[in-house]
Amino acid sequence: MTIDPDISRDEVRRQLRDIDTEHRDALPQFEDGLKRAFTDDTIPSADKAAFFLGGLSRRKAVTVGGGATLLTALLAACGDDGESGSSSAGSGGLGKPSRSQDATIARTAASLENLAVTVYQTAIDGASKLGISAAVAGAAKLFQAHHRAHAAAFNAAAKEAGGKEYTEANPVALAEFKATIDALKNETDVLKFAYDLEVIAAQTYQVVTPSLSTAVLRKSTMAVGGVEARHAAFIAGVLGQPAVPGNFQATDKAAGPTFFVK
Amino acid sequence: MAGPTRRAFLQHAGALAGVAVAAGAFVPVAAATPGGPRWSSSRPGDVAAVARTAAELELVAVAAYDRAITTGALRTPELQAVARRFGASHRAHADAFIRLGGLVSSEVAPDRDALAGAVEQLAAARSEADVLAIALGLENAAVALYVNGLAVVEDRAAIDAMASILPIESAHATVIGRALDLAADDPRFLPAFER
Repeated sequence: MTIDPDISRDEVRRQLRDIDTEHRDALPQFEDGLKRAFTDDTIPSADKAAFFLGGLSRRKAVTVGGGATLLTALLAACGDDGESGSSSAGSGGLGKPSRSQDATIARTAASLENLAVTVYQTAIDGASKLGISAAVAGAAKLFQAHHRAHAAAFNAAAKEAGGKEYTEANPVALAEFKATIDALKNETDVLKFAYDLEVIAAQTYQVVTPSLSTAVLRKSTMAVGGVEARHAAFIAGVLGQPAVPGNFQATDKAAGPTFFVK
Repeated sequence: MAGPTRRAFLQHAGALAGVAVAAGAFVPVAAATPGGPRWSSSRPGDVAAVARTAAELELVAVAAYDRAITTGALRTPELQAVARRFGASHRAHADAFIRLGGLVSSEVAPDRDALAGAVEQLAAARSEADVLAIALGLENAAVALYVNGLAVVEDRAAIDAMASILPIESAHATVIGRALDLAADDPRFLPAFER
Protein backbone atom coordinates (compact mmCIF):
# COMPACT_ATOMS: atom_id res chain seq x y z
CA MET A 1 0.00 0.00 0.00
CA THR A 2 1.43 3.34 -0.97
CA ILE A 3 0.69 6.75 0.37
CA ASP A 4 1.58 9.85 -1.52
CA PRO A 5 0.52 12.96 0.36
CA ASP A 6 2.74 15.23 -1.68
CA ILE A 7 0.83 15.82 -4.83
CA SER A 8 1.85 18.81 -6.87
CA ARG A 9 -0.58 20.93 -8.80
CA ASP A 10 1.22 20.04 -11.99
CA GLU A 11 0.73 16.38 -11.23
CA VAL A 12 -2.94 16.98 -10.53
CA ARG A 13 -3.36 18.83 -13.80
CA ARG A 14 -1.52 16.09 -15.67
CA GLN A 15 -3.77 13.47 -14.12
CA LEU A 16 -6.80 15.53 -14.95
CA ARG A 17 -5.72 15.73 -18.57
CA ASP A 18 -5.15 11.99 -18.67
CA ILE A 19 -8.45 11.30 -17.02
CA ASP A 20 -10.23 13.66 -19.34
CA THR A 21 -8.71 12.08 -22.41
CA GLU A 22 -9.46 8.59 -21.21
CA HIS A 23 -12.96 9.53 -20.29
CA ARG A 24 -13.79 11.21 -23.58
CA ASP A 25 -12.39 8.27 -25.48
CA ALA A 26 -14.20 5.61 -23.53
CA LEU A 27 -17.39 7.16 -22.29
CA PRO A 28 -18.68 9.76 -24.72
CA GLN A 29 -22.17 9.32 -23.38
CA PHE A 30 -21.04 10.78 -20.09
CA GLU A 31 -19.82 14.05 -21.49
CA ASP A 32 -22.28 16.10 -19.56
CA GLY A 33 -20.02 15.33 -16.59
CA LEU A 34 -21.28 16.42 -13.24
CA LYS A 35 -24.74 17.13 -14.47
CA ARG A 36 -25.63 13.56 -13.79
CA ALA A 37 -24.62 11.25 -11.03
CA PHE A 38 -22.46 8.37 -12.06
CA THR A 39 -21.16 10.38 -14.92
CA ASP A 40 -18.29 11.91 -12.99
CA ASP A 41 -15.70 12.92 -15.54
CA THR A 42 -12.86 12.80 -13.06
CA ILE A 43 -13.10 9.12 -12.32
CA PRO A 44 -11.18 6.93 -14.75
CA SER A 45 -13.50 4.85 -16.85
CA ALA A 46 -11.67 1.66 -15.93
CA ASP A 47 -12.45 2.18 -12.25
CA LYS A 48 -16.01 3.08 -13.00
CA ALA A 49 -16.55 0.05 -15.17
CA ALA A 50 -14.87 -2.19 -12.64
CA PHE A 51 -17.17 -0.96 -9.93
CA PHE A 52 -20.30 -1.44 -11.92
CA LEU A 53 -19.17 -4.87 -13.01
CA GLY A 54 -18.65 -6.21 -9.56
CA GLY A 55 -16.45 -4.04 -7.42
CA LEU A 56 -13.57 -1.67 -7.64
CA SER A 57 -10.32 -2.79 -9.09
CA ARG A 58 -8.40 -4.16 -6.16
CA ARG A 59 -5.15 -2.80 -7.51
CA LYS A 60 -6.57 0.68 -7.86
CA ALA A 61 -8.54 0.79 -4.67
CA VAL A 62 -5.88 -0.39 -2.26
CA THR A 63 -3.57 2.32 -3.49
CA VAL A 64 -4.41 4.85 -0.84
CA GLY A 65 -2.51 7.60 -2.56
CA GLY A 66 -4.78 7.20 -5.51
CA GLY A 67 -7.71 8.16 -3.36
CA ALA A 68 -5.96 11.28 -2.17
CA THR A 69 -5.19 12.11 -5.75
CA LEU A 70 -8.82 11.72 -6.63
CA LEU A 71 -9.94 14.26 -4.07
CA THR A 72 -7.27 16.68 -5.16
CA ALA A 73 -8.23 16.24 -8.75
CA LEU A 74 -11.87 16.75 -7.98
CA LEU A 75 -11.14 19.97 -6.15
CA ALA A 76 -8.80 21.23 -8.83
CA ALA A 77 -11.41 20.49 -11.42
CA CYS A 78 -13.93 22.49 -9.49
CA GLY A 79 -12.08 25.76 -9.07
CA ASP A 80 -14.17 28.81 -8.42
CA ASP A 81 -16.82 27.94 -10.91
CA GLY A 82 -18.47 25.35 -8.77
CA GLU A 83 -20.12 27.58 -6.23
CA SER A 84 -23.25 25.97 -5.03
CA GLY A 85 -25.27 29.12 -4.90
CA SER A 86 -26.97 27.71 -1.88
CA SER A 87 -28.43 30.31 0.39
CA SER A 88 -28.95 27.87 3.20
CA ALA A 89 -27.50 28.81 6.52
CA GLY A 90 -24.58 26.71 7.61
CA SER A 91 -24.75 24.23 10.43
CA GLY A 92 -22.63 23.32 13.38
CA GLY A 93 -21.54 26.89 13.92
CA LEU A 94 -20.66 27.39 10.29
CA GLY A 95 -21.86 30.24 8.14
CA LYS A 96 -22.77 30.73 4.55
CA PRO A 97 -20.61 28.58 2.28
CA SER A 98 -17.47 30.32 1.06
CA ARG A 99 -13.99 29.46 -0.13
CA SER A 100 -12.43 30.64 3.12
CA GLN A 101 -14.83 28.48 5.09
CA ASP A 102 -13.97 25.56 2.81
CA ALA A 103 -10.35 26.01 3.87
CA THR A 104 -11.30 26.08 7.54
CA ILE A 105 -13.36 22.92 7.20
CA ALA A 106 -10.65 21.15 5.25
CA ARG A 107 -7.94 22.14 7.76
CA THR A 108 -10.15 21.05 10.65
CA ALA A 109 -10.84 17.75 8.93
CA ALA A 110 -7.13 17.25 8.36
CA SER A 111 -6.48 17.96 12.03
CA LEU A 112 -9.00 15.32 13.07
CA GLU A 113 -7.47 12.85 10.64
CA ASN A 114 -4.04 13.60 12.07
CA LEU A 115 -5.38 12.95 15.55
CA ALA A 116 -6.64 9.56 14.41
CA VAL A 117 -3.25 8.79 12.88
CA THR A 118 -1.63 9.65 16.21
CA VAL A 119 -4.00 7.52 18.23
CA TYR A 120 -3.58 4.51 15.97
CA GLN A 121 0.18 4.98 16.16
CA THR A 122 -0.10 4.83 19.94
CA ALA A 123 -1.90 1.53 19.60
CA ILE A 124 0.62 0.20 17.08
CA ASP A 125 3.63 1.25 19.14
CA GLY A 126 2.14 -0.09 22.35
CA ALA A 127 0.65 -3.26 20.92
CA SER A 128 2.63 -5.55 23.16
CA LYS A 129 2.15 -3.53 26.31
CA LEU A 130 -1.55 -3.04 25.64
CA GLY A 131 -2.10 -6.68 24.74
CA ILE A 132 -3.37 -5.87 21.29
CA SER A 133 -4.01 -8.88 19.10
CA ALA A 134 -2.50 -9.29 15.68
CA ALA A 135 -5.90 -8.88 14.04
CA VAL A 136 -6.62 -5.61 15.79
CA ALA A 137 -3.10 -4.37 15.13
CA GLY A 138 -3.59 -5.12 11.45
CA ALA A 139 -6.83 -3.18 11.40
CA ALA A 140 -5.16 -0.31 13.22
CA LYS A 141 -2.46 -0.11 10.56
CA LEU A 142 -5.01 -0.18 7.76
CA PHE A 143 -7.21 2.45 9.36
CA GLN A 144 -4.20 4.61 10.13
CA ALA A 145 -3.21 4.45 6.47
CA HIS A 146 -6.74 5.50 5.52
CA HIS A 147 -6.63 8.46 7.90
CA ARG A 148 -3.23 9.50 6.62
CA ALA A 149 -4.64 9.48 3.09
CA HIS A 150 -7.70 11.41 4.25
CA ALA A 151 -5.48 14.03 5.91
CA ALA A 152 -3.48 14.40 2.71
CA ALA A 153 -6.65 14.80 0.71
CA PHE A 154 -8.11 17.40 3.06
CA ASN A 155 -4.84 19.31 3.12
CA ALA A 156 -4.81 19.36 -0.65
CA ALA A 157 -8.34 20.69 -0.50
CA ALA A 158 -7.33 23.35 2.02
CA LYS A 159 -4.54 24.55 -0.22
CA GLU A 160 -6.77 24.63 -3.26
CA ALA A 161 -9.23 26.73 -1.28
CA GLY A 162 -6.51 29.24 -0.50
CA GLY A 163 -5.58 28.00 2.94
CA LYS A 164 -2.60 26.25 4.38
CA GLU A 165 -2.30 22.58 5.16
CA TYR A 166 -2.60 21.47 8.76
CA THR A 167 -0.19 18.71 9.71
CA GLU A 168 -0.72 18.45 13.46
CA ALA A 169 -3.38 16.70 15.48
CA ASN A 170 -6.33 18.88 16.35
CA PRO A 171 -5.10 20.78 19.41
CA VAL A 172 -8.45 21.12 21.15
CA ALA A 173 -9.29 17.47 20.71
CA LEU A 174 -5.81 16.40 21.72
CA ALA A 175 -6.08 18.42 24.95
CA GLU A 176 -9.55 17.12 25.61
CA PHE A 177 -8.60 13.49 25.04
CA LYS A 178 -5.09 13.52 26.49
CA ALA A 179 -6.18 11.98 29.76
CA THR A 180 -8.05 9.26 27.89
CA ILE A 181 -5.07 8.51 25.68
CA ASP A 182 -2.74 8.37 28.66
CA ALA A 183 -5.11 6.01 30.44
CA LEU A 184 -5.33 3.43 27.67
CA LYS A 185 -4.48 0.14 29.34
CA ASN A 186 -5.67 -2.64 27.10
CA GLU A 187 -7.11 -3.56 23.73
CA THR A 188 -10.67 -2.83 24.75
CA ASP A 189 -9.72 0.67 25.90
CA VAL A 190 -8.03 1.31 22.58
CA LEU A 191 -10.96 -0.02 20.57
CA LYS A 192 -13.49 2.03 22.51
CA PHE A 193 -11.49 5.21 22.04
CA ALA A 194 -10.89 4.48 18.37
CA TYR A 195 -14.61 3.89 17.96
CA ASP A 196 -15.37 7.27 19.54
CA LEU A 197 -12.90 9.01 17.24
CA GLU A 198 -14.33 7.36 14.14
CA VAL A 199 -17.86 8.32 15.15
CA ILE A 200 -16.78 11.90 15.81
CA ALA A 201 -15.16 12.07 12.38
CA ALA A 202 -18.09 10.47 10.57
CA GLN A 203 -20.62 12.76 12.21
CA THR A 204 -18.46 15.86 11.77
CA TYR A 205 -18.24 15.31 8.03
CA GLN A 206 -21.99 14.86 7.83
CA VAL A 207 -22.49 18.16 9.65
CA VAL A 208 -20.01 20.21 7.65
CA THR A 209 -20.92 18.84 4.24
CA PRO A 210 -23.90 21.18 3.60
CA SER A 211 -21.69 24.15 4.52
CA LEU A 212 -19.12 23.48 1.81
CA SER A 213 -19.34 25.79 -1.18
CA THR A 214 -19.19 23.26 -3.98
CA ALA A 215 -20.94 20.03 -4.78
CA VAL A 216 -17.64 18.39 -5.59
CA LEU A 217 -16.28 19.18 -2.13
CA ARG A 218 -19.45 17.87 -0.54
CA LYS A 219 -19.09 14.66 -2.48
CA SER A 220 -15.43 14.31 -1.59
CA THR A 221 -16.03 14.96 2.10
CA MET A 222 -18.71 12.32 2.33
CA ALA A 223 -16.49 9.93 0.37
CA VAL A 224 -14.34 10.13 3.47
CA GLY A 225 -17.24 10.25 5.92
CA GLY A 226 -18.57 6.95 4.68
CA VAL A 227 -15.22 5.32 5.31
CA GLU A 228 -15.14 6.58 8.88
CA ALA A 229 -18.58 5.04 9.30
CA ARG A 230 -17.17 1.75 8.04
CA HIS A 231 -14.31 1.96 10.51
CA ALA A 232 -16.77 2.62 13.33
CA ALA A 233 -18.97 -0.27 12.26
CA PHE A 234 -16.00 -2.60 12.09
CA ILE A 235 -14.76 -1.62 15.54
CA ALA A 236 -18.27 -1.83 16.99
CA GLY A 237 -18.52 -5.36 15.69
CA VAL A 238 -15.28 -6.31 17.42
CA LEU A 239 -16.52 -4.71 20.64
CA GLY A 240 -19.87 -6.48 20.41
CA GLN A 241 -21.74 -3.22 20.08
CA PRO A 242 -24.43 -2.41 17.51
CA ALA A 243 -22.58 -1.82 14.28
CA VAL A 244 -25.27 0.24 12.57
CA PRO A 245 -26.38 3.34 14.47
CA GLY A 246 -30.03 3.40 13.47
CA ASN A 247 -31.57 4.25 10.14
CA PHE A 248 -29.94 7.67 9.89
CA GLN A 249 -26.59 8.76 11.24
CA ALA A 250 -26.94 11.10 14.21
CA THR A 251 -24.84 14.22 14.70
CA ASP A 252 -24.68 14.50 18.46
CA LYS A 253 -20.99 13.52 18.55
CA ALA A 254 -19.87 15.86 15.76
CA ALA A 255 -17.03 18.23 16.52
CA GLY A 256 -18.32 21.73 17.20
CA PRO A 257 -16.90 25.16 16.37
CA THR A 258 -14.40 25.05 19.22
CA PHE A 259 -12.56 22.33 17.32
CA PHE A 260 -12.30 24.36 14.12
CA VAL A 261 -8.83 25.22 12.91
CA LYS A 262 -8.85 28.62 11.24
CA MET B 1 -27.39 -4.73 14.34
CA ALA B 2 -30.08 -5.25 16.92
CA GLY B 3 -31.07 -8.87 16.27
CA PRO B 4 -28.33 -11.44 16.62
CA THR B 5 -25.83 -11.60 19.40
CA ARG B 6 -22.29 -10.84 18.40
CA ARG B 7 -21.17 -14.34 19.27
CA ALA B 8 -23.83 -15.99 17.18
CA PHE B 9 -23.30 -13.66 14.28
CA LEU B 10 -19.56 -14.01 14.27
CA GLN B 11 -19.76 -17.76 14.66
CA HIS B 12 -21.82 -17.84 11.54
CA ALA B 13 -19.56 -15.39 9.79
CA GLY B 14 -16.69 -17.71 10.54
CA ALA B 15 -18.56 -20.61 9.08
CA LEU B 16 -18.98 -18.65 5.89
CA ALA B 17 -15.33 -17.86 5.57
CA GLY B 18 -14.62 -20.78 3.32
CA VAL B 19 -17.13 -19.74 0.73
CA ALA B 20 -16.42 -16.05 0.84
CA VAL B 21 -14.55 -16.37 -2.41
CA ALA B 22 -17.91 -16.50 -4.11
CA ALA B 23 -18.57 -12.95 -3.06
CA GLY B 24 -17.07 -11.52 -6.18
CA ALA B 25 -19.21 -13.52 -8.51
CA PHE B 26 -22.20 -11.25 -8.46
CA VAL B 27 -22.78 -7.93 -10.10
CA PRO B 28 -24.13 -5.20 -7.83
CA VAL B 29 -27.84 -5.48 -8.39
CA ALA B 30 -28.58 -1.81 -8.72
CA ALA B 31 -25.90 -1.60 -11.36
CA ALA B 32 -27.42 -4.26 -13.51
CA THR B 33 -28.67 -1.79 -16.05
CA PRO B 34 -26.23 -0.57 -18.71
CA GLY B 35 -24.10 2.24 -17.40
CA GLY B 36 -25.00 1.49 -13.81
CA PRO B 37 -27.48 3.23 -11.53
CA ARG B 38 -28.06 6.85 -12.31
CA TRP B 39 -30.29 9.69 -11.36
CA SER B 40 -33.44 9.91 -13.40
CA SER B 41 -33.01 13.62 -13.95
CA SER B 42 -30.17 15.62 -15.43
CA ARG B 43 -31.42 18.72 -13.67
CA PRO B 44 -29.54 19.09 -10.39
CA GLY B 45 -32.27 21.23 -8.92
CA ASP B 46 -35.03 18.75 -9.52
CA VAL B 47 -35.45 17.50 -5.99
CA ALA B 48 -38.48 15.40 -6.79
CA ALA B 49 -36.60 13.50 -9.47
CA VAL B 50 -33.58 12.99 -7.24
CA ALA B 51 -35.80 11.81 -4.41
CA ARG B 52 -37.67 9.44 -6.68
CA THR B 53 -34.46 7.88 -7.98
CA ALA B 54 -33.13 7.35 -4.48
CA ALA B 55 -36.44 5.99 -3.20
CA GLU B 56 -36.69 3.57 -6.10
CA LEU B 57 -33.24 2.18 -5.36
CA GLU B 58 -33.94 1.94 -1.64
CA LEU B 59 -37.09 0.00 -2.42
CA VAL B 60 -35.08 -2.44 -4.51
CA ALA B 61 -32.99 -3.12 -1.41
CA VAL B 62 -36.15 -3.55 0.65
CA ALA B 63 -37.52 -6.04 -1.85
CA ALA B 64 -34.24 -7.91 -2.16
CA TYR B 65 -33.84 -8.42 1.57
CA ASP B 66 -37.47 -9.44 1.86
CA ARG B 67 -37.09 -11.92 -0.97
CA ALA B 68 -33.92 -13.34 0.53
CA ILE B 69 -35.90 -14.16 3.67
CA THR B 70 -39.20 -15.32 2.20
CA THR B 71 -37.66 -17.58 -0.43
CA GLY B 72 -35.43 -19.27 2.12
CA ALA B 73 -32.28 -18.05 0.45
CA LEU B 74 -31.22 -16.90 3.88
CA ARG B 75 -31.95 -19.66 6.37
CA THR B 76 -29.78 -18.84 9.33
CA PRO B 77 -31.85 -16.96 11.91
CA GLU B 78 -29.08 -14.49 12.68
CA LEU B 79 -28.69 -13.58 9.02
CA GLN B 80 -32.44 -13.34 8.60
CA ALA B 81 -32.49 -10.90 11.51
CA VAL B 82 -29.80 -8.82 9.87
CA ALA B 83 -31.71 -8.85 6.59
CA ARG B 84 -34.90 -7.74 8.34
CA ARG B 85 -33.03 -4.98 10.13
CA PHE B 86 -31.34 -3.71 7.01
CA GLY B 87 -34.52 -4.01 4.98
CA ALA B 88 -36.35 -1.88 7.52
CA SER B 89 -33.57 0.66 7.35
CA HIS B 90 -33.86 0.91 3.59
CA ARG B 91 -37.62 1.28 3.96
CA ALA B 92 -37.02 4.24 6.27
CA HIS B 93 -34.65 5.74 3.72
CA ALA B 94 -37.20 5.31 0.94
CA ASP B 95 -39.85 6.96 3.09
CA ALA B 96 -37.50 9.85 3.79
CA PHE B 97 -36.92 10.45 0.09
CA ILE B 98 -40.61 10.09 -0.66
CA ARG B 99 -41.29 12.85 1.88
CA LEU B 100 -38.40 14.91 0.57
CA GLY B 101 -39.69 14.79 -2.96
CA GLY B 102 -43.31 15.34 -2.00
CA LEU B 103 -44.10 12.06 -3.70
CA VAL B 104 -47.11 9.82 -3.27
CA SER B 105 -45.91 6.67 -1.55
CA SER B 106 -48.22 4.36 -3.47
CA GLU B 107 -46.84 5.69 -6.73
CA VAL B 108 -43.21 4.95 -5.97
CA ALA B 109 -42.06 1.42 -6.77
CA PRO B 110 -38.70 -0.32 -6.87
CA ASP B 111 -36.69 0.47 -9.98
CA ARG B 112 -37.93 -2.13 -12.43
CA ASP B 113 -34.65 -3.05 -14.09
CA ALA B 114 -32.69 -3.15 -10.87
CA LEU B 115 -35.37 -5.26 -9.21
CA ALA B 116 -35.34 -7.69 -12.11
CA GLY B 117 -31.59 -7.96 -11.73
CA ALA B 118 -31.94 -8.62 -8.01
CA VAL B 119 -34.54 -11.31 -8.53
CA GLU B 120 -32.43 -12.99 -11.16
CA GLN B 121 -29.32 -12.94 -9.03
CA LEU B 122 -31.11 -14.20 -5.94
CA ALA B 123 -32.57 -17.03 -7.98
CA ALA B 124 -29.07 -17.98 -9.07
CA ALA B 125 -27.65 -17.83 -5.55
CA ARG B 126 -26.46 -21.21 -4.36
CA SER B 127 -25.47 -20.36 -0.81
CA GLU B 128 -26.02 -17.81 1.91
CA ALA B 129 -22.63 -16.37 1.02
CA ASP B 130 -23.92 -15.76 -2.50
CA VAL B 131 -26.90 -13.90 -1.05
CA LEU B 132 -24.66 -11.83 1.19
CA ALA B 133 -22.51 -10.98 -1.80
CA ILE B 134 -25.57 -9.71 -3.60
CA ALA B 135 -26.50 -7.65 -0.54
CA LEU B 136 -22.97 -6.27 -0.36
CA GLY B 137 -23.23 -5.17 -3.97
CA LEU B 138 -26.54 -3.47 -3.24
CA GLU B 139 -25.19 -1.61 -0.23
CA ASN B 140 -22.09 -0.46 -2.06
CA ALA B 141 -24.20 0.62 -5.01
CA ALA B 142 -26.31 2.69 -2.62
CA VAL B 143 -23.16 4.29 -1.20
CA ALA B 144 -22.02 5.11 -4.72
CA LEU B 145 -25.41 6.52 -5.57
CA TYR B 146 -25.20 9.01 -2.72
CA VAL B 147 -21.51 9.83 -3.09
CA ASN B 148 -22.11 10.69 -6.71
CA GLY B 149 -25.49 12.20 -6.00
CA LEU B 150 -23.82 14.70 -3.71
CA ALA B 151 -21.84 15.87 -6.73
CA VAL B 152 -24.99 17.06 -8.43
CA VAL B 153 -27.58 18.04 -5.85
CA GLU B 154 -27.77 21.61 -4.58
CA ASP B 155 -30.89 21.36 -2.48
CA ARG B 156 -30.06 21.57 1.23
CA ALA B 157 -32.62 19.00 2.31
CA ALA B 158 -31.41 16.53 -0.31
CA ILE B 159 -27.81 17.06 0.79
CA ASP B 160 -28.77 16.50 4.43
CA ALA B 161 -30.65 13.33 3.54
CA MET B 162 -27.83 11.86 1.50
CA ALA B 163 -25.21 12.80 4.08
CA SER B 164 -27.15 11.13 6.88
CA ILE B 165 -28.03 8.00 4.91
CA LEU B 166 -24.76 7.32 3.11
CA PRO B 167 -22.89 6.39 6.33
CA ILE B 168 -25.61 3.91 7.20
CA GLU B 169 -25.21 2.14 3.86
CA SER B 170 -21.47 2.13 4.51
CA ALA B 171 -22.04 0.50 7.88
CA HIS B 172 -24.36 -2.07 6.32
CA ALA B 173 -21.66 -2.98 3.80
CA THR B 174 -19.15 -3.36 6.60
CA VAL B 175 -21.37 -5.73 8.57
CA ILE B 176 -21.90 -7.84 5.47
CA GLY B 177 -18.21 -7.75 4.65
CA ARG B 178 -17.46 -9.10 8.10
CA ALA B 179 -20.03 -11.81 7.70
CA LEU B 180 -18.35 -12.81 4.45
CA ASP B 181 -14.98 -12.68 6.19
CA LEU B 182 -13.57 -10.50 3.44
CA ALA B 183 -9.97 -9.41 3.61
CA ALA B 184 -9.60 -6.09 5.40
CA ASP B 185 -8.15 -4.38 2.35
CA ASP B 186 -10.89 -5.61 0.05
CA PRO B 187 -12.25 -2.35 -1.39
CA ARG B 188 -15.81 -3.65 -1.22
CA PHE B 189 -15.34 -3.95 2.52
CA LEU B 190 -12.96 -1.33 3.91
CA PRO B 191 -11.94 1.05 1.11
CA ALA B 192 -9.80 4.13 1.66
CA PHE B 193 -12.45 6.32 0.01
CA GLU B 194 -16.05 5.73 -0.93
CA ARG B 195 -16.62 5.95 -4.65
